[in-house]
Amino acid sequence: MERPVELARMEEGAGITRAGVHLAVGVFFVVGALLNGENLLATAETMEHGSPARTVCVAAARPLAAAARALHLGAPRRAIEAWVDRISAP
Amino acid sequence: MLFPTVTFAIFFVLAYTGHWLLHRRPLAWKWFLLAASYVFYGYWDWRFLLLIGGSTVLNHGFAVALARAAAPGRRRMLVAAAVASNLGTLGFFKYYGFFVVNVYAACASLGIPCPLPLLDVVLPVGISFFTFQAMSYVIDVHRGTIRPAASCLDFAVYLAFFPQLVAGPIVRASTLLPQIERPAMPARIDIGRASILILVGLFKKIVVANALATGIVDPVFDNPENFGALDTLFAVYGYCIQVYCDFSAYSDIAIGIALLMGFHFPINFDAPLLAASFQEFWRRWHLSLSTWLRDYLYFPLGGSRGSAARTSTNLFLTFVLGGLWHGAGWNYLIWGALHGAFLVVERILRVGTGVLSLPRRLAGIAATFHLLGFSLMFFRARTLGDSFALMRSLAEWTAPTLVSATVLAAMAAGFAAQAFDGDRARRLWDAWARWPAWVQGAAAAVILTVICALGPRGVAPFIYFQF
Repeated sequence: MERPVELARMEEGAGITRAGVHLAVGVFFVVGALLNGENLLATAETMEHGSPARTVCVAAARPLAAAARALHLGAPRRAIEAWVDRISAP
Repeated sequence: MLFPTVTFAIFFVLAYTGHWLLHRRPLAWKWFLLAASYVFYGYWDWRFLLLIGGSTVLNHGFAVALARAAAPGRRRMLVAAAVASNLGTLGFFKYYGFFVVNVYAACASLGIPCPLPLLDVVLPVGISFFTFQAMSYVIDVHRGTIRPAASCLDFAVYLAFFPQLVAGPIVRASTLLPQIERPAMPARIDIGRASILILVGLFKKIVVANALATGIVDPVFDNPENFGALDTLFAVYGYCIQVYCDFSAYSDIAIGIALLMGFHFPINFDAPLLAASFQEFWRRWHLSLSTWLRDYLYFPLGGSRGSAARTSTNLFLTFVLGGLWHGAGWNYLIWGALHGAFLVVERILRVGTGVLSLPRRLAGIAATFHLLGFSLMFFRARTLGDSFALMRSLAEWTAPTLVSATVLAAMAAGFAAQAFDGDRARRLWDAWARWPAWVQGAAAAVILTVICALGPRGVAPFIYFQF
């Protein structure tokens, strides 16, 4: 019987060290938050008014959105969204 | 808390950080994981925590009592009580409304008052998944294949572990419990596999499943009488691909997230839309449920040990009950019965045995896909009347209004996404892991941004949350 993929990979020692994973995850969240900062803020603002989750999300997203605007990091996403809107217009 | 949302991203950053900071202190680590999982689950409705907490205490109590009991009669009584209490809980939350409505209808037709009260019972998210996990834990202890968890805390973490809590995969205690009881975090993490699983899962959900749902499936299935044959046909094809992308996306993301935290879950999907028979389909689709049904229902019913007629009956019954697992409704029952019937017919005709030539394999894939679509017409439709309206629409040849390039591209992308199932993307996983760690993080962020930009605004709940 074929070895389950998750066990085979574990036995092979596939992947990278834990420190490397932490670095990759950290970079992912920082870069992802900056590239999507303006959308994160817009999404957070649509959450239920007065809810603690909204307060936390808006507080976290506001500086990200400001940084993304200052560095023009929202431009790639806006360009893709404009392209999608164009091709899906009736 | 849905995976592809800001709320989950914030939650995951905190859960991931706490998990890795505390993993060398097992007791604090377990309490932290339990608290994080309960926050994740209680975010829907804090009252659900009473249910999962009660289920934890009850099932662990049964398991410990089973391990201590020596007399076969007492052990049988304990396991029967555990199964009955789990099925009773599931039955009340999931099937009470359906049962009462049908009793009301029967009583009304006989002209007698219905003795049962109508209650507005809220269906707790993921109840079917964690109840099945809890049941298999007690049954496995009864069978002697596992020992009870070392503590109730270990079992509580196992049952509530957030990546797989609300929509599977149904990870058996024999797989996950040892990883919780003796946390030996791996020195190396399979980040290539985790990243690809999460990104492909997000693509399947945010882009493909949402595009198909809004572009063709929901409009046609919600108003079947308004559309002609081609729209209906493509909506059915679209739903086959949507339900695969939606459900496998959740499993992929769950497996990927668990992997980043050092846990190993078994795969749940293996390119099911390429199955050339229903036997093969059920070896590729929702594997954690199909193997659960096999081990805890089909085998106890007798499996294939008896006559051909008995085997067919066992198979059929297993799938009828598997259909009902998805929800209380005639549509799910018919869907399960159809799959049971397809499997029985395949056994009789000996379809799907042996190696197939390419033309026969392609014919088998096409036939299985179309029969799957037929069964899903019942599964997805709001009412049985809508299912029949869909079938009538297939005979009305009018110009399609919803079959657009976007819909066709989404269908093609969803079908192609099966190339990442199982271990087919092994080379890509390894290639990804060879990049410097910061490049991996940045690349994943860029791909995520593209996925979010390609998808429709907003994220619909995963289909399998309702089960």
